[in-house]
Amino acid sequence: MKELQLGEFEEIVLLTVGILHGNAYGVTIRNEIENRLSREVSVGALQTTLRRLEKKGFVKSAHGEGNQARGGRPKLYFTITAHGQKAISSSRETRNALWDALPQLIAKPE
Amino acid sequence: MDQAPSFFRKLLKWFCKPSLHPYLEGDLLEHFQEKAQTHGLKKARCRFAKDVIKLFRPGIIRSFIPTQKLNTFTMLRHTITITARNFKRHTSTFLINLLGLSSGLIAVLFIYLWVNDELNFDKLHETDAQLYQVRLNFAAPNGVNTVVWTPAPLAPAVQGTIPEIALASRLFAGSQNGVVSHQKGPEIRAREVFADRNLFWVFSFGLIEGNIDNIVPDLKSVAISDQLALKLFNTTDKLIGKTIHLDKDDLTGDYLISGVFKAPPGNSSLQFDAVFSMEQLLIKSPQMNQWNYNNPDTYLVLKPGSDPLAVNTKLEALLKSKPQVEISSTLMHKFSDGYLHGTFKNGEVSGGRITYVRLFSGIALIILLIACINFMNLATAQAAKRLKEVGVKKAMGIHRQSLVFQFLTESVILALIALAVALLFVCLFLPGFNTLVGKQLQLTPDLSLIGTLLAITLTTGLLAGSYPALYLSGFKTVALLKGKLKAKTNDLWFRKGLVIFQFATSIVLILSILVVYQQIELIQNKNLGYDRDNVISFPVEGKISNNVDPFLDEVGNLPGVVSATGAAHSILENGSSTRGVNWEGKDPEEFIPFKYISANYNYHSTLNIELKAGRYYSKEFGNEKQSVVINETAVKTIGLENPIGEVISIWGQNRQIIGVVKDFHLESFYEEVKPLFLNLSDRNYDIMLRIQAGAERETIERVRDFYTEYNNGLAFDFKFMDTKYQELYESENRVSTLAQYFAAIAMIISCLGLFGLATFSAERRIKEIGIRKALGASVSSVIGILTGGFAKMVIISIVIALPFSYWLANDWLNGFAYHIELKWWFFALTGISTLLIAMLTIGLRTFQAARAKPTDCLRYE
Repeated sequence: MKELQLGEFEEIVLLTVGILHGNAYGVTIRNEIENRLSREVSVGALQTTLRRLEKKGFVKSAHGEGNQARGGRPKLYFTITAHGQKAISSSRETRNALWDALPQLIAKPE
Repeated sequence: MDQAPSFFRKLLKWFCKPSLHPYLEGDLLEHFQEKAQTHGLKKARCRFAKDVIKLFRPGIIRSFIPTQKLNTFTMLRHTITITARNFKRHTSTFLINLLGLSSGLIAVLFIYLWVNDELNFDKLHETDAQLYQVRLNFAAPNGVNTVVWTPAPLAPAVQGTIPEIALASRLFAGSQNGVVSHQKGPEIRAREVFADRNLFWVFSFGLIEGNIDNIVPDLKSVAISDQLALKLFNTTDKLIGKTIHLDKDDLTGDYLISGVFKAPPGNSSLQFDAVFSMEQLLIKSPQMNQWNYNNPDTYLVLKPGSDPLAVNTKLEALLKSKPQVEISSTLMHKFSDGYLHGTFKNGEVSGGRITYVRLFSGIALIILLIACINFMNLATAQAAKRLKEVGVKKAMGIHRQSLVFQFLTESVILALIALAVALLFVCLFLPGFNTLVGKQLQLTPDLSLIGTLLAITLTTGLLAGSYPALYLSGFKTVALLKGKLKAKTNDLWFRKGLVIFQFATSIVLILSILVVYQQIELIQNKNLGYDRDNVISFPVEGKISNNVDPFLDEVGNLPGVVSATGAAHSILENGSSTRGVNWEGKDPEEFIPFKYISANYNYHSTLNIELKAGRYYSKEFGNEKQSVVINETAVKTIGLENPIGEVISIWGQNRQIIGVVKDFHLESFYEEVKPLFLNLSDRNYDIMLRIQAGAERETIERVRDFYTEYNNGLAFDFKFMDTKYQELYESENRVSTLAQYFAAIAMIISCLGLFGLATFSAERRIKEIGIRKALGASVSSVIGILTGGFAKMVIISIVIALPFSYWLANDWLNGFAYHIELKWWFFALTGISTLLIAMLTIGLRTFQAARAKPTDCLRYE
């Protein structure tokens, strides 16, 4: 199970990459997180997290096209891998299991 | 299109990993454009800057090392592999190099051990920093005499009156010929001293048992060393309160053991086995306890922080306030300096053994330098064979620093191997070296030794490797690969200079050794006016002390003993000096010191001192108290035509001259002959026997049996006079022998260097040799061509070295009263032999090169 573990920010980034399905690169991921979670994301934190996820095999990157707004620089698209999907599902299951256990604990003293 | 801040774009480009940079910059720019439209340009710029700064984190920042050193270890392994292969491929060069370096290191190691031991001599005492010995200066006709003998009342007088002095202690060694025994057990020699109670506060020899505050509490106390305890009792435990018997003149008697101490180690100048009470000595010899009678040593321990000069002034004032004291000044001399700085001139320290320490440290440095030069020369020469390797590496884009690193690693590895070899040799030959220098040196792996060794080795390796490293890595790649190297004239001169320096140094060493050897030969074989062959001597000890005359009579009658005598002064020492000789017509103001030797009957016949006129003392003439025998110089000094029968006054007593002996040298050849008289006395300290030549062994056995029986089992401890005489020249002998070894090492290393250079030259000119031979040159002419240059270098070094060594030798010889003349053939011999050795070395290599077949030479490439 250990190789499937995700940090909080890693989970958010991984989910966002999933959400953006096919259009996930630096700017869109950042905007998506900022819009959905209304929190400011620094490029540095995002980029290092993306590299880390890639290294762990949860996402893979692909060279994309450039445009004028980017000063002709290419985009680097990220897509979630099967391994990555397993990781988020596993993360969700762990949470659910924990949540399932919670009401019983609260219920008992009543 | 809005413009993002260019500074931050550049900053990002500078620190960002090149692989990430385009994507990151793209993202940032895109974001910037969006921001500029929604939030305005200012905010967008601000945000851009913030983002760039926040990207400055690990994972994004590139490596700033020019080449990414992912392979440091691999490179090191590669270097080591290459080194090993090179050693294997060029075994002879490797061995020559190893031999040169390790012999250099061996010499340096031995010298380091010796010097270290010398420097630590007498430094074992905890009080060392504050421990001083009082020396007194006396005005004498030929300058100032500095002595360690001080008045016995001095130490008690300074204690308390001079506030800076924490401890004052006296020590009197005297003749150190006591014999002790325990309950009729065997008699054992013990070097006794008489000391104050605080002795072991002043000197930290280590007390095993006893009261350190009061080591000899009363007159009949004795403290003995653990070694003596083992000999007497076979144990060092629970000895306090036991008695031992001392046999020594008027101090003979039983003494109660009050302490046991560790015997002084070899690096202590104070050596003793038993400590008796100073008060006991002063009671037995009350004249010693006067201010005008100088005998014990006085040691002072100052309080920390006090000024020895101020103490010296007070000490001098105190001594000069006593009317009986005739000193000119006092000298507070640090105790531990006494060993290395023990020579005095005009009342000041003028040198001592420190000269030898400096000399050998210098030799060590020179040898190390020669060995390094050798290494450089050989490695540079070998470089010719490795040009291709360097060329290929450079073509592949190696950095110069990596090449330098490679060559330095190589030389350091070689230096480490050489160190290992040297250590092995030092371990093997340390016992031999110890006998040579008369020390007990040990190779104990302490931190300072390891540190010094590593420092020496690494410095040698780096120094030796530096020139080839810089030299090889500096070539142009194309030139390297083409194999067309034009050696710069600078380089050639540098290498030649090194060889010249090497040889000049070796020549100076060789010539010095020749001169030292000749001088020592001269001194040791010089006829001193008496015959010291076949004479044995031993101290007057035990029962003999009170029966000298009967003993001499009996021992003289043993078969094989030609003649027997005794003396109070050894002829090998400087004798005693007196002013008490007067004669008619002598200027009473004139100060003419006479030497005298107190000796027994048969002195002249035992030592074969020739009589010039008259006779020597003889028992046939009954009482000889009114007679005297003088030497030729004395006759001249007094100015007598017909000395026999003349009367002179000695110590206020008229004595008739009955004989004149030929002049003989006292002590050593250094000393000039002075006027002397022989005083008949049966108070003897040494007995001398002349033994029949050819029957030495049996006679000595006979004397031994007789002696042991006479002296209740005391071991017979004798020495041959000629051995004792040679011991006088021990330090010169040792310096000479050591220097011979070191000169040989220097010469070997230099020759190895020359051999290497000859190899280099032969390699470089291989094609030239091939063409010359193809055109019909003979082997000898090729050898001539190859050797010529080297001969020139060796001759240059001879020309440089000879005048310098002449100056050096002259300077050294002037320190002797009698010395050899520097002859032209010393220089000729040194020069020619150096040239010969050098030519032989080169010849070996060039002959091989010259014999090569032209096809082999020219076929290459």
